[in-house]
Amino acid sequence: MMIPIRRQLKKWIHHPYFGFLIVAFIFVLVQVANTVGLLGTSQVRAIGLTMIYFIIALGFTLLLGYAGLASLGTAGFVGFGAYLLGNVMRVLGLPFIAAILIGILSAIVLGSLIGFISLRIEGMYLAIITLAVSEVFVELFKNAVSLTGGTDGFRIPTLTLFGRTLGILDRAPVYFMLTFFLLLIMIATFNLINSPIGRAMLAIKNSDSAGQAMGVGLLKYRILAFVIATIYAIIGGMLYMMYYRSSIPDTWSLALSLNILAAVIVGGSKSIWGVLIGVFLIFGLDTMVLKDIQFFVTYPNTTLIFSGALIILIVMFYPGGIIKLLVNTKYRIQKMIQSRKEYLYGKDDL
Amino acid sequence: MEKMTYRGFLKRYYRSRIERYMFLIESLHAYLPILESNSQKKMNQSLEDLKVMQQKKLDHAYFLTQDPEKRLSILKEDLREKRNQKYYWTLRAIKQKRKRLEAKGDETIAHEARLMEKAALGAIENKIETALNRLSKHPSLSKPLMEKAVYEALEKTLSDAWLNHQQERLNRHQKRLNQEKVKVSKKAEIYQTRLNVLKEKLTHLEGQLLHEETERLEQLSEKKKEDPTYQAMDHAIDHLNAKLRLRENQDIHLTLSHLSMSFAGLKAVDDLSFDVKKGSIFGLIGPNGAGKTTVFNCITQFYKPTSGAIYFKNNKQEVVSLLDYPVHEIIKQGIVRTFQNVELIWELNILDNMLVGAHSLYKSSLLTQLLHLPMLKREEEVVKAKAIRILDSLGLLSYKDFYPLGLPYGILKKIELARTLMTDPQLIILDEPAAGLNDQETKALAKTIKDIQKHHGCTIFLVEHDMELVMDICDEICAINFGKKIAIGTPREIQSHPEVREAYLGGE
Repeated sequence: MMIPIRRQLKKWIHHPYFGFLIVAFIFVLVQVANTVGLLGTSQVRAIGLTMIYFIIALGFTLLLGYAGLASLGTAGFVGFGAYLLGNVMRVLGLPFIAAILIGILSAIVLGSLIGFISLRIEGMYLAIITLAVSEVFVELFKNAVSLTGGTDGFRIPTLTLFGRTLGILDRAPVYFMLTFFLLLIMIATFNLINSPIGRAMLAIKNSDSAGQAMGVGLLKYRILAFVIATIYAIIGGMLYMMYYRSSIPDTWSLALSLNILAAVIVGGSKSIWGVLIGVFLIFGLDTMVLKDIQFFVTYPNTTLIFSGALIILIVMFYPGGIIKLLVNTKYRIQKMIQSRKEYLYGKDDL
Repeated sequence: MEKMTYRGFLKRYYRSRIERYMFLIESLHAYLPILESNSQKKMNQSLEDLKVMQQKKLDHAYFLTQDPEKRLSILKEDLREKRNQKYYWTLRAIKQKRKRLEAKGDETIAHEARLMEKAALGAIENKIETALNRLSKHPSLSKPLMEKAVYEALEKTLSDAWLNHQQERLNRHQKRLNQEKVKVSKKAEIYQTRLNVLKEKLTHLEGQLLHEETERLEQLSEKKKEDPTYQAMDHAIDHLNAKLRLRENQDIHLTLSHLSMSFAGLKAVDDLSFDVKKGSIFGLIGPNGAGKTTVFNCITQFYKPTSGAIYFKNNKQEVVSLLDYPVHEIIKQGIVRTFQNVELIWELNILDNMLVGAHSLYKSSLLTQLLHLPMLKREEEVVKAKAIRILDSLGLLSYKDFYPLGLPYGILKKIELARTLMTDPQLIILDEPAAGLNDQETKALAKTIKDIQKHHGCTIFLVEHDMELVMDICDEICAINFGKKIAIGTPREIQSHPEVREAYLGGE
C-alpha cells in the first residue's frame, strides 16, 4: 500500500498548518537545546521575547495590512496586559485561565472603544489618537503605584501554573506554554485571513465604498480588527509578564510601538511568514547577535541605526516587505532555470 | 419611515430568522451534488490504486513463470527502457549542441561536432552495456520456477479478490453516502418546518401592521384639511400613495417620491419622482453635474436624502423603504451597484473579488471562521462554484487567478459587472458602464447588459453619457437637468423632446 500512504503524507505536508507546526517545533527544540547545553540561556530568553513580539505583531498585521488602520498604541495595551496579569494572579490570586478571560473581556471593551473612534478619524490622526491612549496608559503605570509599583516596576517572584509553583528561574514551562499560544495564534490568524472576514477587511481597506456596496459594514469590521489586535496585544503582555516576571513602565513607551510597526513593514504587512522574518530582524537580531559584538556593547543605541536603515531601504525599494523580495527571487530563479534548460535542451522542436 | 416599535422589531427578527433558514436549506441542497462528486472522485482514485497494485503483483508472478534465460531478457528490456528514459535529456542536449555547432557553417567545426557527438553517444552506450552485463547476477534469476497452473490460480484469486474488494468498497461507500443524504434531507426537513411556522407568524403580523397603516392613512387625509403645512402633508400622502402603488402594482420595481438632496444650500436633486418598471432597462441621462450620481448615491444610501421617500420591492416581494437601511444592508434587499471608476479590491485576485461580492451570502459566525469549521468550508465551496459559473458565463474564467492591477479596463468593467451578479440581485445599478471603453467594447457591453437582463430577470438602472448605448438598450429614459426632471419616456420620445435638446445643445 505504498501509493496511498505517500499521497497522504503529501497532503499533510501541503496542509497550511504544517509550516506553523514546524515553526513551533523549532521553538520547542531551542529550549531543549538549552537544557542539553547547546544554547545559552540568554539566547533562549531573547528568542522567547521575540516570540512574544511576534504574537503582538500578528495582531498589528491584521490591523495595518488587512483593515488598513494605523495605530501607534500597541505598547500601551501590551503593558496593560502585563500589569493586568500581575494584579490578577499575584494580588487577587486567581488562576491563569481567569487572567486570560479577564484580558480578553477588557480587550473587547478597549478595542471597540477605539474602533468607534476609527469610524470618524482616519489615517495619521487615528495614529495620534492611539498614541495618546497609549501614553495615558504609560502615565497610569508610572503613577498608580498601588497597582503597578510605579517606576520601580512590578514583580512576580513565584507563579502558580496549573497547580505547579514555579520559581523565578523556572522558565521552561512558561516557554512551552508561550510556544503553544504562538501556534494557536498563528493558526487563528491564518484562518481569519483566509475567510470572509479577511476578505472583507481588505475590501474596506482598498475601497470602503465598494465594500459597503457589497454588504461589508465599516463599523463592524473596524471594531473587529481593533478588538482582535488588542486581544493579541494583551495576551502578548500577559505572556511577557509570566516569562519575565517583572515589568517597568519604560518598556511600554512609543519605541516599542514603533519597533512593532517597523517589524511588520520590514517583513511584509500581509504575510504571517513576512512578519516572522521582520520580528527576527528588528528584535531578534538586536538581542541575539548584535549584543555580543563589542562595538554595540559600548554604544548600545547604535542598533537603532541598523533598523532605521533597514526600514528606509525596504520602504524605498520593496514596499511589499522582505517576503515580497523572497517571493520575487524565487520566481526569478525558477525563470532562470527554465531559460537555462531551454538553452541546453532547446525548445520543444526536436 | 417605520418606527422602531416592539412589533417592528419582531417583524425584523422573524425576517432575519426566515432568511437564515432559507439559506441553510439552500446551502444543504447545493452541497449534496458537491459531496457526491467529491466522493466519486475519491473512490475512482482508490480503485485506480488497487488496479496498479494488482497489475504489479501479476507482473511479478508472470515473471516467475518464465525460464531463467527469458527472465534475463525481460530484465534487460526493462532496464534498457529505464536507461533510455534516464538519458533522454542528455541525448537531446548532445544533439542540440551538435546542431548549434553545425549551424555555424564551418565544415571543420561541424566535423568535430559530429565526432564529439559520436564519442558521447558511445560513452552512454557503454554505460548501458555495463549495466546490462551486471544483470546476470540479479537475485531474482535464481528464484524457483512457478508452474503455469499456480500462476493461473493466482491470477484468478487476485482478480476475484479484487472484484470482491471493489464491490465491498462500493457498497460501503454507497451506504455512507446514503446515510449522509438522509442526514442532510432530515436537517432540511427540520429547517423547513421551522421556516413554515415563522412564515405563518410573519404573515399574521404583517396583516395587522398593514391594517393599522391604512387606518393611519385615512386619519392623515382627514387631518390634511386642518394642517397649515399643506405641502409637507401632501408629500407625506404622496409617499404613502407611492408605497401603496408599489404594493398593488406588479410592474413597478422602484419608486422615488419627491426626492431632494442638498449640500449646504446647493440643491443637487430637486423634487424628483419617477417609477422604474420591473424587468426593464431604465436610463437616467443629463448633462454633466445634473445630479445623476447623487440620485444613485441616494438610492444606495451612500447619502441620506434631505427629504423624499424611496420605496423598493425587495427579493421577498415586500415593499420596503430604503431609507430605513444602512448602506451595507442595501445589498440584502437585492440592489447592487457598480461605480464610475472601477472599484475592485486590488489586493485580491479576481475569484476572491467575486467572493467579496457574495459577502452578504455568508452566514458563518466569527467562531466558525476562526476555526474553519465545516460549515464555512461548505459555504465557500458553494459560493466558489457559483463564482466560477458566473465568470464562465461572461467568458472571464481565464482571468480567475489574476490580480486586477494591469488588466485591460474593459475586462475590469466586466468583472465588476460579474461581481454584482453574485447575490442574484433584483436591481442592478450601473454608474456609467461605458466610460473609458472604445466603440467595440461598448457594443460588447450592450450585449452583455441585455443578456444579463434576459437570463437573470433583473431590472437594470443605468446612468450613461454614451447616447448611442442608452438609446440602443434602454426601454425607458428619464432626463434630468440641475436635479430636476425634464422628461421621461421611451428613447424616441426623449430624442424629440425640445427641453432635452435645449439642455444638451443649449438654448437661446
